[in-house]
Amino acid sequence: MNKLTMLGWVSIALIAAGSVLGLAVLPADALQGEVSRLLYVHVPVAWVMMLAFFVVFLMSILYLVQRRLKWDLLAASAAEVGLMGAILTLVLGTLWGRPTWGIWWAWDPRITTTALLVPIYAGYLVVRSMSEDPDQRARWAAVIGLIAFVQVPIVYLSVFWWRSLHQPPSSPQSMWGVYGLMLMLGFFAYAGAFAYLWLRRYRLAATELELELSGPEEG
Amino acid sequence: MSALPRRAAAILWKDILSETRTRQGFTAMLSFAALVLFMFSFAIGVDNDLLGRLAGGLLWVAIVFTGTLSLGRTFQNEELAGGTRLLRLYPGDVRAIYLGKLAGNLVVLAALEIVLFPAAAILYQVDFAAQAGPLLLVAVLGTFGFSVIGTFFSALTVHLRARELLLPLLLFPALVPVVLGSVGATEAFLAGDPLGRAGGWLRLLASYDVILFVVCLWIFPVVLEE
Amino acid sequence: MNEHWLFIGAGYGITWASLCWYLLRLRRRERMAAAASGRGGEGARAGGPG
Repeated sequence: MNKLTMLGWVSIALIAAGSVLGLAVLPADALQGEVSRLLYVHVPVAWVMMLAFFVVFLMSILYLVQRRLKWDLLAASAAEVGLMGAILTLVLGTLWGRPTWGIWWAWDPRITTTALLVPIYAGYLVVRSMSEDPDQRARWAAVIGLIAFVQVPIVYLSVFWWRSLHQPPSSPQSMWGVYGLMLMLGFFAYAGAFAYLWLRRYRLAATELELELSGPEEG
Repeated sequence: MSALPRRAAAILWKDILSETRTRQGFTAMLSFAALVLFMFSFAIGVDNDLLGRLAGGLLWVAIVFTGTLSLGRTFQNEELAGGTRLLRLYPGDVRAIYLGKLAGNLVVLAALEIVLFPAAAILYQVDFAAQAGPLLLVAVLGTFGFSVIGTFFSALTVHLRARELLLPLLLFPALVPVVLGSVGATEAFLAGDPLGRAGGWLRLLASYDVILFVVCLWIFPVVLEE
Repeated sequence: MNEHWLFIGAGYGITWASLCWYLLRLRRRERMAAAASGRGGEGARAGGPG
C-alpha cells in the first residue's frame, strides 16, 4: 500500500470511530440534547472546508509566482473538494438549526458567508470548464482564487454587522473536555479525508491534462 | 508616472466619444432601470410607507442590476472590434486600460444615478434631498466599489462562453459588502441616523473599496495576458 | 426526542453518502482516464478506499 492509500484508510477509520463515538458511546449534551451530536461533524467539516479554500488561495499565489500548471491543478482539486465541504457544512447546519432554533435558515454571518462561498467557488470551477487553453484557464482561475480569499473575510464582517444570531464559534477552548476532544478527532479525520481526496483528485487532473495535451484530436 | 493617468484618460475619452455618438446603449439602460423600479412596486404593492422604508435597498438593487448589464459592454465592444488586443499593443502599463475602463464605468453609473435617485424619490415618496450631502458620499463610495469589482470581472469574463451568466455569478458575491454598506448607510441617513450606524457602514465601504482597488489594479495585467 | 434522531441520522447519513459518492466518481473518472491513456490497470491499482 502506498502512502496516499494508507492516508485514505486511516481517515476513513477515524471518521468511522468519530461516528460510533458520537452516535452511540457519548451521552447527549445537557443543554442541547441529542442534536448536539451533529456538531461533532458540522464543526470539523466547516473547519476543513476553510482549510481547503485556504489551500486554493495558496496554490493560486504559487501559480501566479511560478506559472507551473501543477499549482493550478492542485488549486482546482482543492476547490472541488472544498465546495463539497461547503455544501455539506450548510446541509449539516440546517439539520442542526431546525431542531435547535426551530427554523431551517437564519441570516447569521457564518451561515450566510458559507452559503456565499458556494456560488463563489462554483463560479471558479465553471470558469475553468469554459476555457480550453490550460494556461489561460490557470491564469483566470488563479485570479479568482486570489480575489475570493480577499473578499470572503470582508463579506463575513459585513454580514456580521448586518445581523447576528449564531451562537459564538465552537472551538475546543469554549467546549470543555470530551467535546473538545471529539472536535479535534473530527478535525484530524476530515482533514485527512480532505488531503486524501485532494491529492487523488490532483493525480486524476494531472493525467487528464496529459491526455488533453497529447491528443487534442481525440476530443 | 504621469503617463499612466494620461493613457487612462485617453481610453476614457475614446469610450465617451463612441458612446455619445450612439446613445442607444444609455437610453436602453435608463429604461431598464426605470422598469426595475416599477417592478419592485408591482411586487410589493402600493403601500407607500413600506416602499418608503425599503427605498434605499430597492434603489441600490436597481443600480446593481442595471450596472451589471452595462458592465458587460465595457470590454465587449472592444472585443467585437478586436480592440483589447490593439489596446494591449500600445506601449506602457496595461493598468491604464483598467483605470480608463473603470473611469468610463464610473461616468456611466453617475449619469444613471443622476436620473435614478430623483426617480426613486418620486416613485417611492422619500426625501433624498434633505440628506443630499451624506447620500452623495454613500453614492460615490458605493458606485466606486461597484465599478472597481465590476470592471475587473468584466475583463475576466469577456472571453468566456456564457459570459452574461458568469459575470453576475462572480460579481454578486463580491458585491455583498458594497450592497450591505450602501443600503445600510442610505437607510441610516434617511432615518436621520438615530443609532449612529451610518459611520460604520461608510468605513466598511471605504476600506473595501480601497482593498479591492489595490488588489484588482495589482493583478489586472495577469487578466489581459495572452 | 425521536424526531431529533431523524435529523441526526440524516446528518451522519448525508456525510457518509457524499464521501462515498465523491470517491466513486473519482474512481470512475480515473478508470476512464487510464483507459484513454492506454495504460489499463493503472487506475485499478491506484484505487484506495471505496
